[in-house]
Amino acid sequence: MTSKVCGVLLVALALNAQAELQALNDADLSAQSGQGGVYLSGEFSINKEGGVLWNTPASVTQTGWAANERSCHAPGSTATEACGMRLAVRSEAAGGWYVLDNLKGTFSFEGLTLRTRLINSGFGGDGALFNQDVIELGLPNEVKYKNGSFAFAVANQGGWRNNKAGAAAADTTYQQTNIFSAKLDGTIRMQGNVLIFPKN
Amino acid sequence: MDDSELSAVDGAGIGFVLDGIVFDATQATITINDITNGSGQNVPISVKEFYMAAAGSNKGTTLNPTNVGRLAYPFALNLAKGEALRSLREDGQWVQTTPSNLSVLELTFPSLMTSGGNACVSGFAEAGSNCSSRAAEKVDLGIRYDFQVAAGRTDVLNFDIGELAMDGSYLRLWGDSTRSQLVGEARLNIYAKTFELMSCAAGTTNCATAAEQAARTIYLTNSYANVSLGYGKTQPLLFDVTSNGQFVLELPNPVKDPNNPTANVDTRSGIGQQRAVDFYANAPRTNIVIDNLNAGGTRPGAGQLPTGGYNFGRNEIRGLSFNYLKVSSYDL
Repeated sequence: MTSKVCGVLLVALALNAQAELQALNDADLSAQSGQGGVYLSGEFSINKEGGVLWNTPASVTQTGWAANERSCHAPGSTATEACGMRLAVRSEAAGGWYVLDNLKGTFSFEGLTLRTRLINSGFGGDGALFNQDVIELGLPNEVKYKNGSFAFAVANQGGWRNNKAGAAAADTTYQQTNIFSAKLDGTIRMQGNVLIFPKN
Repeated sequence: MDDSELSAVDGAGIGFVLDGIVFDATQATITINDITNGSGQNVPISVKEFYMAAAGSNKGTTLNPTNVGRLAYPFALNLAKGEALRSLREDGQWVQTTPSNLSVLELTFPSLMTSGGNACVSGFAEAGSNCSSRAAEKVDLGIRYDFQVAAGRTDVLNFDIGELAMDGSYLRLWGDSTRSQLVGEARLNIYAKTFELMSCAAGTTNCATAAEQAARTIYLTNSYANVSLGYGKTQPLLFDVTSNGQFVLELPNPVKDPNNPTANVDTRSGIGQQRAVDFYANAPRTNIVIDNLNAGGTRPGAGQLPTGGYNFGRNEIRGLSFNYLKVSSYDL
């Protein structure tokens, strides 16, 4: 009995709710200008303490590393360093790999905006002719980097192997050549907007 | 976007314009590693005074925002059929350089124009007046590399480019089924009113006064380069990493059959002749022109010819065409 009462009540409520909902007609919809947009600020850190693939060994001597150990210290350094993310791409059927290696660091930014903007003036006279909406990606004024790093390399296998004879799970056929690597610390000023639009 | 705007879009790609842009990394510490000397020791390179801003920055002293790319001539990312893409030949004709019947991914800079264009280098007609970028859309760009070659010794290379435009540059990539690999073609156009290379860091010992700085500076005035790598139809640029992990950059011989690249081809008749004739008629050439090269002089004002020092006059390379190129890396 109680369940029937509940059922009737729910139906009544549902009808009530339905009565208050109204479909938006075209005129109302066209009055919506979607001015919101998104304001983003944040900080993200990737592989700061190393990836899940390798533990950081105690010494830079490569022959002593265990099968699951790898250090990505700068050449000549005596201190070991955790390794970041690795991305490998092969662009030829039987070829070698392009590698973006040791990608890691902390990045923070304040005020990255994303919104649409109608451009119908300015731009040295181009705006009036253009007269359409664009997606505006507002760059944050400052991007802060802490211990950011990456290396660009070429290799004969996608996954990294320890190629020093005598090391645990050594694969002496593995060949990787680092073309260059970069480290990034401090603040970079990036001011302005990137306007994105379909091109005819 | 309303229906009419959306229906006007025919999937020709995505345009990008940089609006009010300033890039300044002078407050950041950037170090490039893994470049070693003869003894295998790392030579760290510190990147300093890295900036991009409106032209007239006085070598990065005054950073003002600028627009790069125009709404009508933006940077673009296109995915198009090979027969739909065109390159501007030196005689002002648009020609197809990419092979037909395949999809090409293209990243382009603001395009060149065949009429109504702007001076690519202001006050230097020879660089052409077919750039879409106007004077206000050119940038000043600078970067300084400090090479820490040994303890207590740092070699400096300080680059400052004034009024830079890169109109007409592009990179095109596609898959070559015969070679089973990623191939492409690229054109790098650089137009610069001034280009200065100083071998010391301003404000340091022997690099403080104007005379000391001038003595360590090379000045390029009114220079441009059109670097063409690859002709998609018969000489695609091959980006390659060999199976033993070395980097190879190759421009194959355009008359040879990609299915049988070692066989000799008769270029006096048949397909060999067709490939050769097409290559010499349409493949883009490489030009590098420096209207004035000066070492040790002083530039009286922005964009003006330096006075004093050693004047090396005009230097140019024109109509360079690669018949074959192969560059491989080897571990030292």
